[in-house]
Amino acid sequence: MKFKKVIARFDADNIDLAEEVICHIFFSFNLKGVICEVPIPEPDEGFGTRTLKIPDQNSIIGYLPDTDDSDIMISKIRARLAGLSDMAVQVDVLSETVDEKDWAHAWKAYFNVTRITDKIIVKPEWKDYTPGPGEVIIRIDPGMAFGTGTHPTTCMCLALLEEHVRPGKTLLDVGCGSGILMIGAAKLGAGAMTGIDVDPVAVDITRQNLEKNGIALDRVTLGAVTLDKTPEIQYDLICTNIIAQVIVSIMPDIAARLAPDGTAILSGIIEERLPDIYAALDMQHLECVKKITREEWVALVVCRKK
Amino acid sequence: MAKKVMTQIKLQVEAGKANPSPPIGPALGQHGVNIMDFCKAFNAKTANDAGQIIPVVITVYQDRSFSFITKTPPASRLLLAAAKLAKGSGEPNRDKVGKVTRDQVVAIAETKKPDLNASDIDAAVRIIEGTARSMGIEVV
Repeated sequence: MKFKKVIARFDADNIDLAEEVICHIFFSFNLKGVICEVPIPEPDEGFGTRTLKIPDQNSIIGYLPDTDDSDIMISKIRARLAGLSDMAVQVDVLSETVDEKDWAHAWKAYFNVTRITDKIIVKPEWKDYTPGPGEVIIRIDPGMAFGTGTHPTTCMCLALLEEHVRPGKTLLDVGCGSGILMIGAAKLGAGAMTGIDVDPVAVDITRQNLEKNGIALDRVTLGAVTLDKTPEIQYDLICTNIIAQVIVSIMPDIAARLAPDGTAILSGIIEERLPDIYAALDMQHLECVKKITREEWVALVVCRKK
Repeated sequence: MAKKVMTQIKLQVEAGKANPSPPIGPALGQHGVNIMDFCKAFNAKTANDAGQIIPVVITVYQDRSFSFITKTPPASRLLLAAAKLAKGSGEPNRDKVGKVTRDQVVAIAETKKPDLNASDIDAAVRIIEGTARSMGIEVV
């Protein structure tokens, strides 16, 4: 997909004011976000040593989908920005066409073979790895979907799947993203699997990744739907790696689809949200039987209360 | 352990809705940051502010790991909320679409001050007033 990159270079006595008003104009044209190339006032609160420079030119950058109307839209933005000269903000607007593939692959150079557990290895499509005896290799090209295996939440989910997948057990993956969890489960012996994601792109990428890993699609059901729209079939295993707020909101739907002796693996939970998850579990007569933590993320193993 | 900072990136994006399309994809991809990992972490931290625009400063380290800090919402958003408006004026010099009080402007300036280069509250107030003017909001 192609986009128009709109660059508003500006000079102003008051940089903060210029940034505020230019960003506001971009947002008033329904842009979803902007890049602000401006001096950043205070040091970061991380643990870095700063080697930063102030940008040579202050700019606000926005992107529009490249359509027949985008040039008209750019001229409207240009006209609005020109009106800022009243406030001593001088703006020069440039635009160029950019292609999604220019950035979609740039970060891949830094994505390596990752050992998740003693048994599970995640390998990007574009790297070589010779598996040792008994090792499970997940070949993954995450594309523009969630789940590369390098994130702590995904690592914990895979480790818990390794503990709980038994041959032939059925699995539901809520928010399948790149398909990494379904691939792991399939390679560990899971039977029939269902994967859903609200993002249709993710569902396509999951399908491609399953195929790349040689997993027969006849035992897999995929859909770009929310959990409440799926049939109330009960599964032996349900895994979900989203975020706490979403998991809380779908807890009744998870409970309705968990077999009486089933196990749910909940991940993507930031530690401070854990009380919300416990409250939601309790309301559905579910209980946490195991909790693991990595960095600020928590993953839980959940069963019905006995 | 200190890590070497490679760059810092400032974005303004919708809370809870970060995804790999622009501006996040190109802004982070060119520096080798795992775009999806950022989106996941940002959405988890900002899920409660859905509908709000959140400025975020991302620090990228030389090993391509990153950290980020979210900032106070843009002055324009705080002004729209104070004036109970959905959007500003398309022609701010001619069409005045709303009003805020001087006290509201000072309160917004106090909120925003930590994220501004402004040295004192008067300078911060001037930024808020200027933003209001550019949106067709009068200060009364």
